[in-house]
Amino acid sequence: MADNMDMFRKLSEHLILIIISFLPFKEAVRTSVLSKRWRYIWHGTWNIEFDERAFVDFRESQEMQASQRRGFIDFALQWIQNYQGRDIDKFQLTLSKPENFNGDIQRCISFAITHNVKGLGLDFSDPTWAEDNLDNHAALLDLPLNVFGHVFLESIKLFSCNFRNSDFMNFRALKQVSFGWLELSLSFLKALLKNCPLLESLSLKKCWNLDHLEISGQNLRLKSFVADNCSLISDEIVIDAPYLRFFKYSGKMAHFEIEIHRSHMEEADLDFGIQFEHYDGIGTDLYNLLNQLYPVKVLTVCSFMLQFLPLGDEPVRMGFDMRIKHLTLKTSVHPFEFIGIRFLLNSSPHLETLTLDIGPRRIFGGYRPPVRVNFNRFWLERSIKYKCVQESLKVVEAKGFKGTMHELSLLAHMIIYGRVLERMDVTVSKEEGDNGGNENRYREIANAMLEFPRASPILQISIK
Amino acid sequence: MKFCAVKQYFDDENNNNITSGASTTMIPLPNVESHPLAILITYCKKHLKIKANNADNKKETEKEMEQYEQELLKKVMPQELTELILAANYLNFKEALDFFCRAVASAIQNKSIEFVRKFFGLESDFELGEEEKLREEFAWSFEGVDED
Repeated sequence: MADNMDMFRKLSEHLILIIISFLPFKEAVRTSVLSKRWRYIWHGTWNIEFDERAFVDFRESQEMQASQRRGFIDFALQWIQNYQGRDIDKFQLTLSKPENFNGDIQRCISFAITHNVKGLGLDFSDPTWAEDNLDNHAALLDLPLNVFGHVFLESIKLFSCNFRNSDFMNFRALKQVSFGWLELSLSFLKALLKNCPLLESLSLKKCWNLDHLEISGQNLRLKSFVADNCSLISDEIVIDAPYLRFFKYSGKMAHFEIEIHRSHMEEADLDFGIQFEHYDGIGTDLYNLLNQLYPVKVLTVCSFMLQFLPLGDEPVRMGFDMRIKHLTLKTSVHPFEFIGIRFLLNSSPHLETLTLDIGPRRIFGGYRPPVRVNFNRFWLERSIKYKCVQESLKVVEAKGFKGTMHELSLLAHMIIYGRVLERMDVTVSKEEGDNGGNENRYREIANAMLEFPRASPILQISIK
Repeated sequence: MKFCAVKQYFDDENNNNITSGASTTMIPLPNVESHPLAILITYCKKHLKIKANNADNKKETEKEMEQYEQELLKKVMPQELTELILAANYLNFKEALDFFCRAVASAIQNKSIEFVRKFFGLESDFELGEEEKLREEFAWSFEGVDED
């Protein structure tokens, strides 16, 4: 278009560089192919991510992978050598089997430091590592000492990269910290929280040797805390964080003591997918956990919670109305989950968006429903309606739809009773089913839903 | 600091006329069209207003600003973005510059080369074979792109 060409010419290289720097590194690279003028502009981007996963194919032989890894490192080193910019914002290096590339890695890190990087990320974990027995994967690389001189570092991500706890205290300006595949101690964690008054976000992924988790401290400004499959010595999680907005937990059921503030807490994501046993009283413990997270507006729960939450003292709903506006259920839409789904719908009278993340989940053979129910008529029982479905629910999303009878009846309920429903987006599963089901079959079944009687005249159903 | 270029004029004015009250100097902005300027002024005013309303609650400020920005992007045509970027740059209005640049980046993210070329009104001026060589060199970066 002539218009565009005129305008574009006015954009200086400096401005184009600003645009490119907002792109992920991989995309910034692509801009070199746009035209001669754009060939080298991306070289100045200040958001740099070198990820071996774009170069190394883990299905290939070890020799091939090693050779691909070498090619990747060479690319990174050459890029660094040609760098013409000044300070950089972000530098991230993802590389497994780092032990063969010590010198090269040092060069990369020095490059970042000398350019006053604000956010440094080093991921030396191996995607083929098994997730259990975390302590079999001791970190093979130490963080080089010159990094600790960079005291104004704002964000750091270290996966499988060791450091001395005392050295780490040099970083007092940190706002974001992410640790993965590391052995950590609770005393270090406490010292970290005290040492970094600006800390807003803390993420621990697959870390081990922690006695338990304790996130507290005077003047703690933490807004986001993630604990992802860490191995704790005693399953206890204590959080006292008045500014916490986002809490994500993945792991075994634990004893939770959470103190947050209603005007800040926004979102929680609870995943007990790896829990493989249940015990008496687990329902009550889950209830108490949800109780402590009472102000959340966005909630994601797993199948385990759906099965066991209503098995405590309260089988029907929370004792108060929750503020949940967006509820995501990791579910297989199995009858054992129905009472839990009902529990959450009953407790969320202001629900606006319901997302069903449909996939295979662990269903417990020992499950006994707290009340007698007919699972086949569960969602189509005319006498049982949900206030949120009738009055506030606007959007339903179903991802991984396979057209099972239960999926159909659950979605049918939403269509038939959702008076203010605006949108239902169904994405069919790409997996082959047991009964010869496939994408096309699922789509056929989904299309049948278009004929269901609708309570909302403005409802749009889309099927992908 | 918003509109730094304009502030310069006020500062100079005050230095020259110590006794002057309300200044009636016209500030020439030859590189800025009236339409993008109007949008930038509204953006700036809105930003200041939201900040004043939510003086204590930074989170509310961020949220309201985000909502306003989303609404604004819906109304702005992609072609206008270039004008807005140029205007924000000339006026030295950093927040607006970052915002609109980020909007352009979002618009071209994960799109094919052809799409991006069309977006910017570009044509490939490479010699024969040059582009193929580049695509091969950076083959790893071409995985997972949206189809047009």
